[in-house]
Amino acid sequence: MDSDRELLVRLARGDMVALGALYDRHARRVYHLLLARGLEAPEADEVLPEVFLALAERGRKLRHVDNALAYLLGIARHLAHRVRQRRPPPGLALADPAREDNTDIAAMQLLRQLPPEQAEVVVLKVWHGLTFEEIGQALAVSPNTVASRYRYGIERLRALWDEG
Amino acid sequence: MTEFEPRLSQMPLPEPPPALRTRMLAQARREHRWRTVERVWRWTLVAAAALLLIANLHFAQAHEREMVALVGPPGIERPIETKVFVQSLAHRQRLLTAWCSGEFPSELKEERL
Repeated sequence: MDSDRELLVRLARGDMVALGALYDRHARRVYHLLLARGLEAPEADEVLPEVFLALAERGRKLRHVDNALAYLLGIARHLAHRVRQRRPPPGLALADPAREDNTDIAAMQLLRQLPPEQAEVVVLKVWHGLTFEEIGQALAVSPNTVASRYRYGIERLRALWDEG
Repeated sequence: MTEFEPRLSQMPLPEPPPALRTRMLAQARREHRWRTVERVWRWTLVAAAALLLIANLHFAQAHEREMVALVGPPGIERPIETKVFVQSLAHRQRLLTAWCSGEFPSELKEERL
């Protein structure tokens, strides 16, 4: 199986199969990060392809990218921020009850009680099994900061769990 | 990891719809084709502009050579002979003075100011 680096080099040459492979490898992480950053599921559905299209658009510059996940999460955070800023007023908010069943809502409702910085760390650690080191590289923060955010996030979630 | 985290990880999160992958890849291929065509056009235009510049330079130099062959080098490139120039000025001043005083010398009647 090709490494991320090899896939990026292939994508830089215009190989769209490599883009598909990167999507298969990282789409869930990116999607969950978008949700953790406060996007609704329909918004995340819109943004997820944009993240990978933005990656493909970089073309030859991808040869200089070392960490594909960090790059994708960087784009995702940027786009999530932009979507949140352009949201319609609360009364017109997007809602798609068909997309989220009760268990999804429970997990997301818990995560949305956290600040986005803590929620994204908890998602990447608990649901995707990344280490603090890997999360730190992906989010461009130190592992100590990641550990601190994780600890605060988990404490808050546990309190919410015990309440509920 | 405490007992809480495994329980938390058992709670499912929403998953990206499978259709997104197909749609994204189709759009990526389309955009890649457009970028390729755009790149070809851009380089074609750059090459055409470069050729135009080179041709322009070439014809300008050829034209310059033709002009030099016809009329000689531009006057500013020829050294001015100061003595001849001063003599010419003095001669013209003499003619003007004579013409104004009405004593136009017969040997100079053929000349006009």
